[in-house]
Amino acid sequence: MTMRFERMNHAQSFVMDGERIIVDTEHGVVTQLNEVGGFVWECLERGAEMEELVNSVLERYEISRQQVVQDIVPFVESLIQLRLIRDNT
Amino acid sequence: MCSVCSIRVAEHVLQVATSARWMEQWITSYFPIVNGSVAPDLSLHIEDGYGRPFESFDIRIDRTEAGTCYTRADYKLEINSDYRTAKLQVYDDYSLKHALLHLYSSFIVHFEWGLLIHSSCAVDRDQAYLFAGSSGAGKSTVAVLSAPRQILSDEASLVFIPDNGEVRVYNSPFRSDFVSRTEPISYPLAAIHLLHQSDSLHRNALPSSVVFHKLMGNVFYWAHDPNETAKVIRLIEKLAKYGRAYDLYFQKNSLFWGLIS
Repeated sequence: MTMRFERMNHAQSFVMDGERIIVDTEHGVVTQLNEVGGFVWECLERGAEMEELVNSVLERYEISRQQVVQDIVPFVESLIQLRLIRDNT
Repeated sequence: MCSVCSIRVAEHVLQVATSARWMEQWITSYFPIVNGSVAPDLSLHIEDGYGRPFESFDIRIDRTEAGTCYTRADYKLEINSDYRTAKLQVYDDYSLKHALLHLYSSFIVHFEWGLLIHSSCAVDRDQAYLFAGSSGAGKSTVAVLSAPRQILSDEASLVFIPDNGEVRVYNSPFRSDFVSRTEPISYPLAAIHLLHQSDSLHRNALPSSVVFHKLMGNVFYWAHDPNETAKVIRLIEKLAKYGRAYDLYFQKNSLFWGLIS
């Protein structure tokens, strides 16, 4: 089954100095993402599925599929643990 | 008998009603009085005789459809959901000062007008310089060392943060030692300095993202509603992106003004 994600309502984000900052307004936690993390976040905000996410990163960055999967899956899991997104499958 | 007076804090008019003579005298001593015909932005009723002496800064927050209630050992603050009326019960002048700061902070956040920032602020050549930092960093020391410059605040800077246009710092009535009737003058913000006491004098420019993180821990705000917290975040974001900010490493003398002004 394909995983589909949804941003939590209390996760507010903006770009500053070229990096994405996400604030959990419910718990007052600030998360700062690098360029790739910010791009993944933007894809997640549009409701991307995991496979779409991987393909989008592959199109944008010159990284192997294996590397993308190795990096993206734990990253998405960490966003879920931080309660910034949820698995809406 | 209940007395009513109108006072000004920055751009806002607060109508204050109280039957406690000492509170009427306290308030009219420290806040500029406004003609009663001016429509208030916020109406406040204050009573004394509440609770017990200050114990800690711990506050219990209760939310209902009618509004939000903040309870501390020495004060109880109830703000209506429209943020146009409030009721305050206090133990003494110390709790009255803290509760008024709390109320005003909530008010200016709700209307996204600005923030009360834990910092001192001094004026040089008609521009305001904010000095922020953790407890003991030297905010009050910097204010003292800045004499004879005008001091806009020594612990709680009142910062107006518009969507567009100039960020301005107002003369803050919320001081560690209150001064009489602080007139609500303001100056444009020139720079924010994050303080570090040091053997040497120097400063480093900071990117906006670092300033945002630092300011997050220096805002007078009591989180009670994610929507209100979102407003605080937007205000801090605007302020962090607005202008210049630095880490300032300073010695305990006034030489830092030669570096920053």
